[in-house]
Amino acid sequence: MHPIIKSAIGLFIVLFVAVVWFSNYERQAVEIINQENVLFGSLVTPKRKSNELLPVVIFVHGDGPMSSGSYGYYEPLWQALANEGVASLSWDKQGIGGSQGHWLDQTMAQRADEISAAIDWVENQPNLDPERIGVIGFSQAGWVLPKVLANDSRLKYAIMVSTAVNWQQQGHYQTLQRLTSVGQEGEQLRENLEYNATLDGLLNEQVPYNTYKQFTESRQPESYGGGVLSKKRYEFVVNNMDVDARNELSGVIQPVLALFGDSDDVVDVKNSIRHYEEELSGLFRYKVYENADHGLFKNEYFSDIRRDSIWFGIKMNWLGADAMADSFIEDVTGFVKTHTQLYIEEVNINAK
Amino acid sequence: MQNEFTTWYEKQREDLLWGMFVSCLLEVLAIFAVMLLLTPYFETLNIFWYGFFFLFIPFYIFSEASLALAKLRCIAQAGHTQFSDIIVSSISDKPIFHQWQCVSTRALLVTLFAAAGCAMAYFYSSKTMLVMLLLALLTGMVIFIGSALVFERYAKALVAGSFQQGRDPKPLSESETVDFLVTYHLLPWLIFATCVFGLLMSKYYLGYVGEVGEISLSSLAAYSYASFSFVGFWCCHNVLQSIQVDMKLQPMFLSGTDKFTYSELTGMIFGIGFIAWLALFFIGFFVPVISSGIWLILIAVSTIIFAAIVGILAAVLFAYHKLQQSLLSPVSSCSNSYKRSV
Repeated sequence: MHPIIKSAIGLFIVLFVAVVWFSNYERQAVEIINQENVLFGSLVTPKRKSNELLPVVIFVHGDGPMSSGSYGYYEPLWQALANEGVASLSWDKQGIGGSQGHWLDQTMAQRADEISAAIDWVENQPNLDPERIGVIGFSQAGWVLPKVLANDSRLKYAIMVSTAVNWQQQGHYQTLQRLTSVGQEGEQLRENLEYNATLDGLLNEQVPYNTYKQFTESRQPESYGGGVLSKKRYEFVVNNMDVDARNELSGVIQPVLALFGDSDDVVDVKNSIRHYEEELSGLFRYKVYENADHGLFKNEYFSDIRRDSIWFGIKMNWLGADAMADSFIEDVTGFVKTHTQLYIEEVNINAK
Repeated sequence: MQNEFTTWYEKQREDLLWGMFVSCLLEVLAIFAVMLLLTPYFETLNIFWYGFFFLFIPFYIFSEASLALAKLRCIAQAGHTQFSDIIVSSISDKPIFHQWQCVSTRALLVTLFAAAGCAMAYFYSSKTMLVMLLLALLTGMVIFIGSALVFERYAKALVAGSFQQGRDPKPLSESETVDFLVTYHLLPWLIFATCVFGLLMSKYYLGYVGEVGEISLSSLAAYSYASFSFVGFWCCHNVLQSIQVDMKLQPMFLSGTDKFTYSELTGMIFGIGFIAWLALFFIGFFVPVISSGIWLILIAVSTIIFAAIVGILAAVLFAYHKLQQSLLSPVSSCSNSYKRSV
């Protein structure tokens, strides 16, 4: 055998060992059946085997075409949870990867049904503990989680990351932030906000897509800076814009931890905290990280990078946990540990 | 003379193996990057990744081996007069007469075994970006090892076959020529291109629809034209030199193809691609958007099949034209490459 081939075989063995070495947790492909659709997902479990049933955290995506690992965003959390002996469950949004259907055809109520289907699935797994299921949701999940928490006592706790309360209020806040961030003020700002309010009115009336398109193309001020929604996205917005988490918050009795970044330009953090404090029925804690944005990424690394660029994805994956606000990962794992441990203590007391 | 041949062969072997090593590593990394960056990106567990391992690895091993063997055949064709005293049977008992004869059931099983190994490594890995990059390197190594072993197995037999053909060329009739070109050039590359590029294009289209819900047929027409042109030229480039060597070793005959210049070759690939483009653009007036996965896969695969056929056909016509010219001029490009490599 030629020395080049021998060297390649040696390199192959080294690479194989490296793949195993750097795979710090096990990640299995799973299929969750939700009504007529099959959701394709990932179950992440610790590498070390144990006879004990594993507690589970269900991950609920924010807006956009998200795959089960949110393109690497969940990786540091999965890693930290696996190190603590906790499993993570997530799935590709409908139409993404292996999941059937399409995420833009879904309402928030249908997304909530998916979580119930995932809980049913967890209950049938021999290695997962159906009594210790928690949930963590990001951004848009703020309109999904309260629905499930209020109606499904199988969920024992929730972590809400950068979540809003009212869809339209959040949309208005985001538009205002976008316009003021480019230096708009006075008459120009007033004109753009007026246009935005008229547009919201049209959406509320659920006008046909072509009417919306014609209106946007003919009336949108150049300084407004928004594009025209695709037909699918338009229908998604129209079908969901009435959603308001306040309708369910008082029915949530489980402990909730809410986490925000102080540089969030998508969600009105103070507004969310105020409503959660006033309306949640269970234990509520929150934390606002300094110099962190909507995704709880550190401003120092990501303030000047577009979120939909490949460079953003590469940098996020490269930095891993360092990309996130300091102590975010520890706060999540700490909360999960506390509440899974509390359950065990409760069971022990009952047994005595 | 035998010692001289051995030295010559070892030199070619060494050069070709290094070439294969570099090409496997760089090309696999490039294709892996495309797989990683096409939505739904790297970490979604889906059928594309298993398609990638089980289709890509076996085909790539055979294509790398056959490309290296084709280069060796070209060098052997140019140098056979230098070793005219060598007895062919002393090189190999079972000479082969074409590089694609390296495809055997046993080799296919070995390549599938290699593919299963990589797929298993993927299955049990954590699929983080670092791990996926390591997997890309691992896949590159597996492809190199597989193709190098296939190359080693058939290299001497192909040199022997090429010497034998060079000493006693057997002209092919037109029907034999067509059979030969279809069997040894069109089919292997058509299957390879359809599976590998069809997979990549389907992944791109389905990922696009996954993100925005639908794709307009005018966008599809533009993407199809771009991929048609790329795959057409890629196929043409891969087979051209090899067909030229085959035509020298076994004089071939194709009626009605006297003249086919380089500009006609370029025009053919760029021009015929417009048929697919126009067809999709025309259909777009009636069905402006498409979201069906099956239709998108069908469009992607049809475009690739069309492109591979046009690219290889253009290469055949160009090679035949060159052959006609070389009858007037004894120095060929292949002999030049031989001169450079020894």
